[in-house]
Amino acid sequence: MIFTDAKFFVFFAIAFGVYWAITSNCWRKLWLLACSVVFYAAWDWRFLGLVLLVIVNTYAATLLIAGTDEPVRRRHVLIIGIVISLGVLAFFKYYNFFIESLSHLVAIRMRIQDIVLPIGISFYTFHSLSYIIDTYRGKINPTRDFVDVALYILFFPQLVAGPIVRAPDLLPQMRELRPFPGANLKLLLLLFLVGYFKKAVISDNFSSFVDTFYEAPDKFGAVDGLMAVFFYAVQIYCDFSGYTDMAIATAGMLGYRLRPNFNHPYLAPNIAEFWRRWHMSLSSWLRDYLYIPLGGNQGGPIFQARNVMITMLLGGLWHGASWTFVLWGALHGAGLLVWRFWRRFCSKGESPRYSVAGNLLTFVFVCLGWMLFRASSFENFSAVAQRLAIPVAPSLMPWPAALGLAAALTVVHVAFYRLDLESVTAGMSNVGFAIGYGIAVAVILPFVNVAVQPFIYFQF
Amino acid sequence: MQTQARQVGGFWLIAIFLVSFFCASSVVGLLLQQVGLADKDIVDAKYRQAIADPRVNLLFLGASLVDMGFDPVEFDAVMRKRGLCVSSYNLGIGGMTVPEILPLLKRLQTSSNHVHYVFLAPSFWSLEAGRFPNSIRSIDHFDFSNALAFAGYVASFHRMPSSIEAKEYWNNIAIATFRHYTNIGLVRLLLTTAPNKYYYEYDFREAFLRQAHLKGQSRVERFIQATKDIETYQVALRQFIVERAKILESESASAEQIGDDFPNELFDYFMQAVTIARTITPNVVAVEPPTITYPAIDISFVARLRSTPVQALPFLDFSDPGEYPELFEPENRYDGSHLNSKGAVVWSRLLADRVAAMIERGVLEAPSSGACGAQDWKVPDIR
Repeated sequence: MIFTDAKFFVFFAIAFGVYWAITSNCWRKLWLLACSVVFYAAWDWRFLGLVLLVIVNTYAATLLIAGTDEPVRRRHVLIIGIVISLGVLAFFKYYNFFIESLSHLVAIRMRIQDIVLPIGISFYTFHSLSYIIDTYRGKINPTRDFVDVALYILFFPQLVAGPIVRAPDLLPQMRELRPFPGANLKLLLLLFLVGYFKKAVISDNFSSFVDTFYEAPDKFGAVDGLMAVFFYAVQIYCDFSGYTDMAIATAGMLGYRLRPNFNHPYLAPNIAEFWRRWHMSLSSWLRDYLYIPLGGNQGGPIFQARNVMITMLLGGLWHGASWTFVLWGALHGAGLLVWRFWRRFCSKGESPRYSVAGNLLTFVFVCLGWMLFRASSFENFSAVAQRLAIPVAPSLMPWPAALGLAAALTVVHVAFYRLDLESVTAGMSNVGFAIGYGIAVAVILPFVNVAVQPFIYFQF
Repeated sequence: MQTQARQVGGFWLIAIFLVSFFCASSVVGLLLQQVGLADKDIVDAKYRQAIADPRVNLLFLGASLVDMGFDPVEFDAVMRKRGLCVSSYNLGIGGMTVPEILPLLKRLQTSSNHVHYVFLAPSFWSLEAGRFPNSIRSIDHFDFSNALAFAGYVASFHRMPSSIEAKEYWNNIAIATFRHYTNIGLVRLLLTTAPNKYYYEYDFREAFLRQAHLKGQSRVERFIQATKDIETYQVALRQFIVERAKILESESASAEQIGDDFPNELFDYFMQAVTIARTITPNVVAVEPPTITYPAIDISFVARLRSTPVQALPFLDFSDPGEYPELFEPENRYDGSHLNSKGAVVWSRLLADRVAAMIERGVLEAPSSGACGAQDWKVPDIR
């Protein structure tokens, strides 16, 4: 059940209707928890036990940490809590990767296990870790309400692909009866539609071109290759930011506020700014729970560079158990270091907010990274890269159509950067909005790719 | 009180949204039809091609057995030799069953007055429109009324003729109906090619080339050739002959005894088609093509028509290998169900002889002389 699936609309209509019909906060939370369990079970009910383990671990660890002032004991509980949550992630996501890599390293065949990757595991384990660490750091008083903790980890709008929500953001919202979004409902509905359009129309339609190219790059030439690389940049952005828009809107319709996760990253004038705009909840998570504990910007340039590289390498690995993701992280780490070096020694003053050259260079660099990110293996990446040097007439799509699409998407991206959805909806009457929304949905639906594609970030 | 007012307001807004959506959706749907979607629906495209030429005075409706087995050029030539000016069109469409024929006949009621003969070869077991809900053909077909008719038709089967369960058909019908009213994903269907093109899509560019001289026929040149295939076919033919005889033995029995495979409701659907066709022209003919695949249904239909003859409904039965051995020769067949192009010539000549004889006996009215004017068929420009 994904946000663009008809089943989800039925599910959410029931969830929404019953939720607002309940007047007690306690029962509302229980209802939301039940809905979240159903939502997750619709993917694979077998892993509900695993999520329960993470919830119980988080609940126990946070209460035990808060229950003692003894630093050593607190530290021990922190380590155990982290080890359990991280252990779940490590086993299910990285076991085979490590075994395989080790086999290559020591030249001994080791047995690969048939392990199914539980959906959303990277996200809910990070929810758990941040809550345990924030409790240890004293940033939050842990709740004694088990339902709150369970809902914090299982809350269905952000369960399977984020944004990665911090406990201090979400738990306080659960303590009080959430107000009906009222006037905000129009904004939330519009945000959902924007997200739906990004995912079901743009991303899903582009995916077929991208998949065709990456499955057999040898059949295509440079123009097709460039198209596929560009289309993938569009696809992954629309896929993930579309999911986030729908997640924020869905949570908002239930009275909960989630932080934005994207801010037009392809308009970033440099790579550091890109990471401040792309998957913001992950970037800030890595900064707060990895980069800063490693030393952050303290120490000399070499020490800082080490911190950046470790953070980006692990950030890459978080995305998937494959060396292509690790290399992707390394590439971005290197990019960040080059940018730091350039800013320190070559740049005069503050970097501009807009810069055509900077934007273009950053976008090309990011696209290069996406080639690695999308490739199924190094061989696949190499084949794709080679095709970019072979001039063959395009066959994926006529180049004028591709250029037109690229221009249109750029204009829309820039236009949305300047557009304030809140002011758009604020000026509309309810009846006008209902009519306009009906027309917009009717116009969008014919362009949808009905072959439902899972969100790219679900695999992480 | 405030909550109640909010709920009432909310329901009104949902109603306004729905009205706005369905109005806009209808407009979008019409636009999509105009920009080429209609041409990609094989049923709609062939129908429009058939009625666009005022010389066409005979429509032969049925499934692939007709599509591949009826050669209109050959049929018309024999008729002309007998002084009968007939210009026929092969409106056979792969997998077209009776509930899909009904709306075509209803359209014909209101749009055409030059059709003088309607031939109906019902393939009761063809349910292709309910198999692939994401095809333009199915999405176009399944409005609420057609969806209910098709669902009812599927429910009539006591035993499904294919391995697909009735509930799967109903699910597919629901999906196609949803897409019919929401247009969801139709632009993609418009721009891409359907995977199973024979059943679902119609390419007018291809039609211009392929059907310029075929008048709707899908010509198939392949025949049953390999020794093993011939043996398999002949075994099936022998089984068919035995089974046919058994079923026809109950010809004199009551309809209930004909069997579970051909319930009364299916026959009622066929009768609806006959009734509508008769409002277009009195010259309606039922045809049983030469096929051996589903005797339990096809021969039961033959038996039903024989045991309870429909008043003044001429019936041409080509299902007897004893009477028409040439139609069942391996070299004339594509497979057990279908004739090939050589078989189509043979069947069309036989059919023309029988029809001409009916006209000469006064069972059917003679055609007017208009269709004899031009010999060369040109695909009419229907845009």
